[in-house]
Amino acid sequence: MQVVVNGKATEVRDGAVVPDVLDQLGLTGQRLALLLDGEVVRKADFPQTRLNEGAVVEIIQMVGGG
Amino acid sequence: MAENKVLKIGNREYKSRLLVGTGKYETFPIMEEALRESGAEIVTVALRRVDMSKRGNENLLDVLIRGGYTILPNTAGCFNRADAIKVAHLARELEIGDLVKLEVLGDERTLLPDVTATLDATKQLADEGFTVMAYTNDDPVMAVRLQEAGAAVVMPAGAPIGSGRGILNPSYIRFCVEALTVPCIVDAGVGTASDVARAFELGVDGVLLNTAIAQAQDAVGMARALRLASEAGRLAFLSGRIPKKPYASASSPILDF
Repeated sequence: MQVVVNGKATEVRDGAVVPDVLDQLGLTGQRLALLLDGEVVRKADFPQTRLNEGAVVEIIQMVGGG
Repeated sequence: MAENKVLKIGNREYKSRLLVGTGKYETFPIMEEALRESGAEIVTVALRRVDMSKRGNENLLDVLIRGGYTILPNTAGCFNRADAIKVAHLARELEIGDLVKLEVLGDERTLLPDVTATLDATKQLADEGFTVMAYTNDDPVMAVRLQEAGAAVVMPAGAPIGSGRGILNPSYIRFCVEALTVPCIVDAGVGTASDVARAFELGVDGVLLNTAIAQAQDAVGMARALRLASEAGRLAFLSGRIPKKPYASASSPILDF
């Protein structure tokens, strides 16, 4: 199914949960935060958070800033 | 000399009173060396989308963990309370502690804070258990309101972010220092060593800066200069300067021959 990840249309398997998407993008094990359809997903909830068709995902990391 | 109390933020104590940002450096190695030279123990970071094209390169977190820094995520770039709170919540999920530098900006050109939104966000985040370090203007009344709302640190701007103009309103920064019981850390606008020294001479508990180091011609050299300036300014403050007088006061006794 199609979802949007960091602004880009991305194909993920039907019924994918957050760890599946992170794994697909090679991000497993990195310290990340996540918005799903504009809402913060608690890290503890990643394993059971399932994506729907058209879901908008933002994967967030620390970057340089003042 | 007055007692040099340790800087305490949240449940940790810090020897360094210089807090340094990690933005705008030319390279990671330069940033790493500059942070080391500055002596900073607390460094700020922002939160942004993962850049998929840059995966596999060393990332900021690796550098900061290696350096043993306390990481202070900011809500930079947020122009309303809801966004700032959302970014703070995202930062919490990164599991780097409960510190947050709260910025709710009110104007794109000046990047001055929206103080009423900052006050509301401070109250909510403090109630949620965050250690809030609130970026604000140099209004001592607002500084106290932020403290009352639960801010662990109040951070008045010396001048607009990145402007390098130093402490534009030293009297008001001094008023903030006198009014607060939580630490007062000047954030924003510092340009060079004399600005840092000036801030500490006013009695502030710390200075947070980024551009002054990152965009100096020699970032590492400037980091060293600012560390020395922070120590000099703080020592001068604790040593009690002479008052300013309108007329001369001879240093030698009157000529007696």
